[in-house]
Amino acid sequence: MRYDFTDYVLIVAGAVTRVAVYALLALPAALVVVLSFTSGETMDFPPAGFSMQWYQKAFESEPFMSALWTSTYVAVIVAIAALVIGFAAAFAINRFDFPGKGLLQALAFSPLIVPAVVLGIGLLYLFAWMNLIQTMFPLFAGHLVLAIPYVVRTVLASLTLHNRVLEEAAMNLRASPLRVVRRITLPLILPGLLSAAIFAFVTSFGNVTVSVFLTYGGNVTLPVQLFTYLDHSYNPLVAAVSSIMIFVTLAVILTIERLIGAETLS
Amino acid sequence: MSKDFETSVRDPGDYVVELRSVSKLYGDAVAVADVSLGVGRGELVCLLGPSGCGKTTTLRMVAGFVEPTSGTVEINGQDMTHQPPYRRDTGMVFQSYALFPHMTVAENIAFGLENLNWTRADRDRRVSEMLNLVELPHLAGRLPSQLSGGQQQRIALARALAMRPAVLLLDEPFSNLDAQLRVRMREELRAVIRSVEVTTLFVTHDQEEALTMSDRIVVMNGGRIEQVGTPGDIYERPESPFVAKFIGWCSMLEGAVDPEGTFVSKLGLRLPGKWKAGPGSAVIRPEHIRLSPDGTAGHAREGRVVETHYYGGATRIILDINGEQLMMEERFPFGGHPKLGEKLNVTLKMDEIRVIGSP
Repeated sequence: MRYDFTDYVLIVAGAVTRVAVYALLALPAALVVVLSFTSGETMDFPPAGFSMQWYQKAFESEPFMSALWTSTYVAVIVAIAALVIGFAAAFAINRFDFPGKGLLQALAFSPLIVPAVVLGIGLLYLFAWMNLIQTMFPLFAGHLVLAIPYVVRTVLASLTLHNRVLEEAAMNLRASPLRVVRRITLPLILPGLLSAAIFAFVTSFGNVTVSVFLTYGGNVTLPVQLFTYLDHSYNPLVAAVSSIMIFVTLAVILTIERLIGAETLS
Repeated sequence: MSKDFETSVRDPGDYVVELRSVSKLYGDAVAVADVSLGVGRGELVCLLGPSGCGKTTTLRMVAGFVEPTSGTVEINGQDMTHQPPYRRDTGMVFQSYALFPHMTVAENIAFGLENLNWTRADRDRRVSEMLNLVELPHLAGRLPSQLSGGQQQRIALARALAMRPAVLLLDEPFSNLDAQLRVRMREELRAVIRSVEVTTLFVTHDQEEALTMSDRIVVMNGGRIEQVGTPGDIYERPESPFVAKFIGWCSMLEGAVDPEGTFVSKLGLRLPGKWKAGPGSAVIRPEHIRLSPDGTAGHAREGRVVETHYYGGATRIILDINGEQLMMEERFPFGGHPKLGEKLNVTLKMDEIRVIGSP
C-alpha cells in the first residue's frame, strides 16, 4: 500500500491526538498515585522522596477506613441489585411489547439526563418526607438510580446481539422459558452482565454529587469523606486515600475481566 | 439407498402431524393460507417452494414458534395449536444448526434429555448412542466452534433425535454447506432418518433435495399448497404451470388441444396426441426431445439452434421449432457441437409430454 502526503498528515495527527487524549485521561490519576508515595509533608511535585508513611496514616485513620468499608459494601450491594433490576428491565424492553414500554425505557435512562445534583436534592427531600433520612436506605436508593441506566444499556446491547435462534432451539428441546433464560440466555450474555456490574460498582464507588446529600454521620462514603477532609487540610494523605480508591476500582475491574476471559476461553 | 419414487407407503389414517386449514396472517399479509396436510408415520415429507412461499412458517407452526391465525395443528392425534414449543414432541434441526456455543457436543445432545429429567446414566448412554448413529463418537468433548459445518449439522441432527421425537423437523438443513458436501450430507441424513424410522417434515427450496429425499413433496407457492404428491407425481404429472416450472427444467407452450386431441401452440406448433380438448399449456422437458439424425422417425421436425450452454456432461440447447423455443439436452462428441443457426432434426416423445388444462 502506498501513502500520499495527506495520509501521512492524518496518521501523524491521529497519533498526536491519541497520545494527548490518553495523557489527559491518565495523567491526573498517575500524578495522585506518584504524590501518595512522597516522604514530604506537602503535595509538591516532584515528591521529596519515597515513603509509605501516608498509606500508613490512611490505614490508621478510623474515619477513612470506615468510609472505605461503607463505600465498598454499598457499591457491591448496589451492583448486585442494579444487575437484577437492570436485567429484568432490559429483558422486558428487548422481548416484549407492552403498553408503557417507551415510558419504561425513558425512565430507565432518565438519570443520565437529570443532573446529579438535582437528583441528590430531590432524593434528599423525598427521603426526608418519608422520614428515612437517618438510614442507609437513601444511599442505596440514590446509587441504584444512578447505576441502573448503565446496566440497562449494557444488558440491552448484549440481548440485542444475542442469537435468539439458540433460545428457540432450547425450547424445542423441552426447556421451559425460565430454564432457557438460566441455561442459555444468561450464560451467553455473561460478558455483558459482568461489564454492567463493573459500571454499576464504579458508579456507586466513586460518586460524590448524590452521596453528599444522602450520607449521615454513620454512613459516610469514601469520596464524601475525602471532600470533607479537603475542606480543612490539604496533605498527601488525600493522595494516599485517592490511590487506595483507584486500586480498589482497578482490582474489581481486573477480577471481573479475568472472570470473563476464563469464561470465553474454556 | 434405493427408494420407490413413484409410490408412497403409508396408512392414510395414521398421521403423526396433521394440519387442518391452517392460516397465518401478519397484519394484512398472508404468510400461509388454508394449508391442510397429513404426515404419515415414518414418512418423509418435504415442503418445497420459493422463498416467501410460507414453507418455513408452516414448519414453525408445527414446532410451535408461530401460532396459527386459524386452523389446528395436531401432533400424534393431540391438538397442539396453542401449546408452546416445549410441550410439543418435535425435534428440530435449524438452518444455522443453533448448537449451544457454551456447551460441548455431548452437553448439547444431553440438553433435551436433562429437560426431560433423565438420569445421568441414561443420558450418557443415549448421548453415546446418538454420537455413534452420526458416526462422530470422538467429538463428544469438543465445542461447536471446533467442528466443521458438516459435523455441526450431524450433531444438530443427533441432538434433535436424542429425545426420540414424534416428528423430526428440518429447516433448510443443507443451505450452509458447499455443493459437494451437500450431496453427501443429503445421503447420510436420509440413511440416518431411515435407520431410526422417524417421521420427518423437511423444508427446502432446492428441488433436487426434495426429489431425492422425499416420500412425498408438498409444493407451496404464495402461502398455498400447489400440489402434493410423490416425487414422480410432481415431476411427471405437474398439475399447474407453477409446479412444472419450479421442479426441473421445462419449456412451456401456451395453446389449446383441438377436438382430435392434438395440441396446437399459439405460434402454430402442432403436437399430435390424445389430450383432453380445451385451452392449456404443454410441458416439454429437455429429455422429451431427442436427436433424430436421419430425419425419418415418426414425428421428426427441424429445429434451428438459438442458444447453446455447455455443461460438461451435456449441452443444453434452445431450439426454434416453428417459432416456439424448446429446450433440449444432448451429449455431443468433442468437436461435434452444433453451431448457432444450425438445423437439427429432432423427435418429440409425445406420450411423455403433459398438457395442463387451463381452468
